[in-house]
Amino acid sequence: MRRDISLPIQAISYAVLIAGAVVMILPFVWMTSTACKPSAELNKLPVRWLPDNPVCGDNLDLLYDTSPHFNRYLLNSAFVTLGRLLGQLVTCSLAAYGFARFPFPGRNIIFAMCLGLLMIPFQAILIPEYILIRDLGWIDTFYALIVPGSFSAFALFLLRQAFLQIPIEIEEAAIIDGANPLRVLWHVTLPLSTPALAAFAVITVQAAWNDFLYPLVVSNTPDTRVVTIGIALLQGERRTPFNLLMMGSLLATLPMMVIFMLLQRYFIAGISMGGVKR
Amino acid sequence: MFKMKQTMLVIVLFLVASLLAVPVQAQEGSDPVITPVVCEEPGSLTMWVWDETWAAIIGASIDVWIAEYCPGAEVDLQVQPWGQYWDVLKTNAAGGDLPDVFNMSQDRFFFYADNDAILDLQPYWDMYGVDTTIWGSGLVGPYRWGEAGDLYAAPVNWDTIAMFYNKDMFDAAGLDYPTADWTWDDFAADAAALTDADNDVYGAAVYSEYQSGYPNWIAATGETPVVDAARTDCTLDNEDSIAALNFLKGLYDEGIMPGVSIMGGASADDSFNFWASERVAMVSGGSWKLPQAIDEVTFNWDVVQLPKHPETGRSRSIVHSVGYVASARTANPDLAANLILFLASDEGQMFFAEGGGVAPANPSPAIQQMWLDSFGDAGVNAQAFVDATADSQGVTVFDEVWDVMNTELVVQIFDLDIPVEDAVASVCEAINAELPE
Repeated sequence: MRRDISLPIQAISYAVLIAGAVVMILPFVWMTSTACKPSAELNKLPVRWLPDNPVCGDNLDLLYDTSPHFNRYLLNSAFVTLGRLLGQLVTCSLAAYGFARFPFPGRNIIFAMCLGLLMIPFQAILIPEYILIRDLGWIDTFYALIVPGSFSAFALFLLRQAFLQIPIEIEEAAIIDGANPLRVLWHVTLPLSTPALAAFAVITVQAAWNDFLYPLVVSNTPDTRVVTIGIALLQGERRTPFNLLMMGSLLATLPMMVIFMLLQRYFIAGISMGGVKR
Repeated sequence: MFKMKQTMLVIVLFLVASLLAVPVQAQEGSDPVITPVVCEEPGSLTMWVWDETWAAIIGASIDVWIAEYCPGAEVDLQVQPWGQYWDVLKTNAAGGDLPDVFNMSQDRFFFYADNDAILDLQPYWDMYGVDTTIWGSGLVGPYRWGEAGDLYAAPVNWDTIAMFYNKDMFDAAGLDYPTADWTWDDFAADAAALTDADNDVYGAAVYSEYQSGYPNWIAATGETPVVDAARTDCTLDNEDSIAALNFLKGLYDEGIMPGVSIMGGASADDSFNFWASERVAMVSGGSWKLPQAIDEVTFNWDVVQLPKHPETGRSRSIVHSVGYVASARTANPDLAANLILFLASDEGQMFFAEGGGVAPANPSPAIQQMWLDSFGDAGVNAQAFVDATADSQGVTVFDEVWDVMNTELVVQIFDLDIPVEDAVASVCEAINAELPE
């Protein structure tokens, strides 16, 4: 039974939550406001929270003048994100099913080693990975952007935990009916893990969409560059058009915001399910 | 033998064609300073630059090189984001495959040259008959390497520092606009008169960052700022450096110059934005700030050379020059050198001159004039930046000392009120630790 919370405590907790929400929302407000500022207003003091002369449309045109491949970058990001999502779905669900349901010698050690991957910072393997990709002849190709990102230790962990929650009796029923393990996974286990899959999708999509350092190293042409690099390209050595940079960021953030709003509850469920944030 | 005849034929045809075409240099009434040469054999090259605007300019000039000097050659021009350029370059260097030709910065050259990653261009300069002293020492000095002082890079552009001042504030204070022969004393007197403490308006902000800030004032004393030319010693604790820093700290102590927290940061952009927001009357800034100031500043303003040191009589600006270099491991060193020669030539540099923004490194008066003309009728004394090249100081610092000299020293003196002598002692200790014994 829920305990009644006294009014002052409720007021304080709401105040704290509202303050937290404002802190979280402020960068987005600033991004949107700056995206619509003319360059003369960018550095004005005192700070302008809203542009005096909003020029959203002009800045959008200017963005495409400055960065003519911007739509291509967005498209590449979408393609890479989808590729990684499907790749991870296949590799991680198969592996997770194996770890969850098939006892084999050394299972726990191998699983621990997979999880150990989470502890290796990407910067440490950047150069070896670059050399590997180069030797495969994959520089400037979508293989380089999708294949190495098609496995994630976090997704493996998340799905394994979800599969373990499903009563084994349901799967045994399918096995008695003559289903082989792949069939059981496809027709029983995965459909029963929809919340986990949604959480996995949200987290994977967000990670793939925001990935920057790795695509930066393996792609050098507009044909394979993703939107995070497209935004970074707007920064000049001596002059950075912050309004265009923010307009680009706004365009890049919109799809993520839409996905987040639609799948919010899975996103939060995913974080609590995994117990780790990525 | 046949090939030689063919080459000769191409050269003769080109000469005839170029006579017919009446080159722009001839129109301007001066001989080209660097003349391109036809390549011996076309091939393919990869080139990296770090700025989209530059890529467009360099791309246009590469098209001319291919059409007129190296038909059949292919150049894959790739832009890397400026913020990550050096990280990506280092990753590629570690992987053993740098692009054939790429942009280099004076403060980074040291690392790549020391690791034998860059092609020595001196044999090519000799072969092409280019006298490398045509570029000022501030432009090419930091790109020389080895015992013989071979030049490993072709300078692309230069930028110097001058004083941006708010003419409206000078008018309101009843002051004459500064001229190129003003001294530190004139500057201090003007800055004091322009300070309006009641309205939080300061006289000058001139200390931020290596290139725009305090090192210019140290250079005017005749001292090499921060690190000596041989890269063996921190010079900040030398007498002249301390005197220059104390001059600036005096202005700060009197409330004429704003502190780091007041400007919201220790970067040159923070100072410049503070000036653009009419909170300070004068700011030292680079020539690269001209386009932004022309576009964004709403009050009347102009630029003037930095003031002269009262005793040495010198106004010395820190000059920086971006260079083109070739990878030591390129498969096509001759072709890479030929392209670099073209990009540094009068013909190749015209594109930079016309594009405005950064100033082309080629010293031809016609090219420099073209750059000045690119500002059109903005009515700004851009010539001040050209004049500043005459007595200028090349970059002697490098990546590892950047933070300590750019941020720590400035914050210690101009925010935490630590005496100059103590601040330079601690900063020099950190810098000397990074220098070879």
